Amino acid sequence: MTMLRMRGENWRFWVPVAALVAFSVYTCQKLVRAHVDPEVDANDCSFTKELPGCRGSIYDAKGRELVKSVPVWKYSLDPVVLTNRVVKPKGGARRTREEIVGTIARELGLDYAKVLAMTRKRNRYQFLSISSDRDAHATLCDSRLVAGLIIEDRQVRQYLLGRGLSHVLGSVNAESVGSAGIELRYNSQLTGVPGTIRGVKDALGHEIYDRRIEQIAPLPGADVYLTIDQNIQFDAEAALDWGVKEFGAGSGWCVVMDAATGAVLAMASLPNFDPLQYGRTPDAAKLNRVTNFTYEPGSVMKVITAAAGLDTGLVRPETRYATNRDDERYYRLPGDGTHVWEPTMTVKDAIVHSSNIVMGKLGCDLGPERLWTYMSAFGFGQRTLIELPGEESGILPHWRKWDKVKWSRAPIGQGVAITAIQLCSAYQAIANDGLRMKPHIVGRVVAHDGRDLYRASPAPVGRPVSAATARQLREMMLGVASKEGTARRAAIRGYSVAGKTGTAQKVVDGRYSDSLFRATFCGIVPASRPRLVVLATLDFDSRQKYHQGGNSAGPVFKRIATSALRYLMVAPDRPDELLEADDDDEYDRAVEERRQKIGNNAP
Amino acid sequence: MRKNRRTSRKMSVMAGRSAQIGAVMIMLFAVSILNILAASSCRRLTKTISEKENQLAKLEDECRREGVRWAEMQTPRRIEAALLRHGRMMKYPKEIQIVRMDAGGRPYPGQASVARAAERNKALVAQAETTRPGSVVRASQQAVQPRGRAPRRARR
Repeated sequence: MTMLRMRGENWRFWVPVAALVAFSVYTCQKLVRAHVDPEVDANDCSFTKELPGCRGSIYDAKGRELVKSVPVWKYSLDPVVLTNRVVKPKGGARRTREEIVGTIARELGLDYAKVLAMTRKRNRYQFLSISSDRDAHATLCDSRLVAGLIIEDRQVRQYLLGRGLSHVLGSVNAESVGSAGIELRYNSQLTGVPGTIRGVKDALGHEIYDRRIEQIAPLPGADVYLTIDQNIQFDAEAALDWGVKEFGAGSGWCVVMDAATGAVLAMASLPNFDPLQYGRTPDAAKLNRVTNFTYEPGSVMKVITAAAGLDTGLVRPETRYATNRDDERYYRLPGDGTHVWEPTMTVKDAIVHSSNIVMGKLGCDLGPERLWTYMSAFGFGQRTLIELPGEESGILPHWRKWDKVKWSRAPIGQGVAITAIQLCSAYQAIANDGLRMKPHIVGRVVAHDGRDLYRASPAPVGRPVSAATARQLREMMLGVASKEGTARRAAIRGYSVAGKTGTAQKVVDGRYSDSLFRATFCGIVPASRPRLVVLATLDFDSRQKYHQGGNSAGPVFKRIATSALRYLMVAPDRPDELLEADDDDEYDRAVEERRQKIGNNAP
Repeated sequence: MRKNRRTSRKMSVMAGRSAQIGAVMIMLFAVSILNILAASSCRRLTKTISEKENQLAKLEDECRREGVRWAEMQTPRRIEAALLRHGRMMKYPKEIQIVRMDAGGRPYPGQASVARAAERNKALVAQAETTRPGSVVRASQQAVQPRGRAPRRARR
């Protein structure tokens, strides 16, 4: 005041100027702060939007896509908008409700009457369809033609093989979370990291782009590369499907494994399911019978018994056993039926003719402890740790818990329960000169930036038998797929097949059934330089004429192995056989059958 | 007189101040106009960027969709069905159609295809020996002759 008094009446000018300057400074600093730090005036108009991270893809061994997430449009109807008979879409001429419904039904390929019925419902969200058709989307987005349509951007999993490989690939639920197979096992790796957008909206609810507070881009999930080859898989599935229909089986399963590495090249189980309809699939079809189903293997276990006998030095391939059952040293031996008629038989012939008595006697001679030790060493009774969820360990009780009946029953595959992958792994050890490798189905997992998160390498898990024993076993098994053996229909021209049949009786009401069987053939091709181990099993739910392993599973094995050998261009180890007749080929027959089938279905 | 002098002095001071205030006001007005122009330009630019971002996202989505469509067409089931529908068959080669050879182009011994070829050659040679000499050569010469009418000789 003193100053103002001193300066006279100038205060009348300076006070408004000072107030103006102070107001300007305040406004400016607020504006500047708002630009530098937009959170200052983040009020109710701010929003946070989550951007979904794209789920990773699944590829086969050669990098061909098997599963991929694709963006699609989800169309729903708001019937309230179409309440009136005549509707005026935004910016367009008046159209009747029927015209609009007709456009929607035509573009989405829906039934006109059904869509029209939806317009009479009260619920304001009527799901119509999910589509990736770009032309349909362009038409339906045109607000001059269509009204009352809600369009949402969604991502769905596309399974390129359809029902093929469904048990391995699995499925995802509506929230894109894996619910079976690789989708479940590798869910955390496949799931992407979601991104975020934080910003400010105007009074109309539109985002003000220059006021965007934060934008974090989503990260896609990792990609999974399997060891499966989709061409081998396709042929294996076709052969299995043929076998199930041809021989009247209720279900079936097969595995193709690399003999040297334990990598699974094909895995199929029937019945299979549509991954997009997983929720509506019956439990029987959801079951992966290769890894998640235990069963008594039957005679295919005789190879393990023979391996134990040879490896311990108790017997040699030419050691003879009597085929009578009245020997007091052996307790309650199983019968041999009519297919074994010789009074004495070598161990090798016992494999070729699948003699229960000889193998039962050999098992009794070995004793439960040694037999159990060898069965455990081959991987029975424990999980193989293959990268699939829900794997069963099988049932192999400790030898101390075995009763005397089991002494002669376990050697022929009764009283023990296994999974198909365990059996295949055991035969892989025989094919690989006694070295058992860990079965694996995932080759590598690659992050979105190209880093390898996981890379599978062949991992030995044990050597149940010596290399010499394994070679002896393969030599003995050669006779099975010959004219004298139980599986002459499994023989492949040009290639030596070392395999074993199994015809296991199914248990019905606590007793072994005389009419229901599980037929198996597990083989190694070519036997001289093993490249593949192929297992095929048919499960019969009713009495069938061809229910034996050699008659039903054998031809399925032959069909799978022939096409796989051709595809992999494996050199034959018996080329002379090819010179005799080259037109008799199972693969050619299979393709010809498929051609006729498609030809018959063609319009 | 004194009072009038004071008033005129005051008026002259006020006039000087008004000019200054006017200048400040004009400057503020110009700055605010510039600010508005810059802000609107900025807003237009961000809108363009966002539109381009949306367009890019849409194109990426389209690319994924097309990729899947192509991959689906290349599955063995689709390829085989498409071929068979048109009466065509594509199969893996037979063993007798494959000749494995080393880096020098020499076929490995013991191959069915080589043995079959040798058999055929043997049969051909035997056939040539039984018929009159030169017949095999003539047959091969006939095979390479072009089809259709023979060219006319030029008239002399």
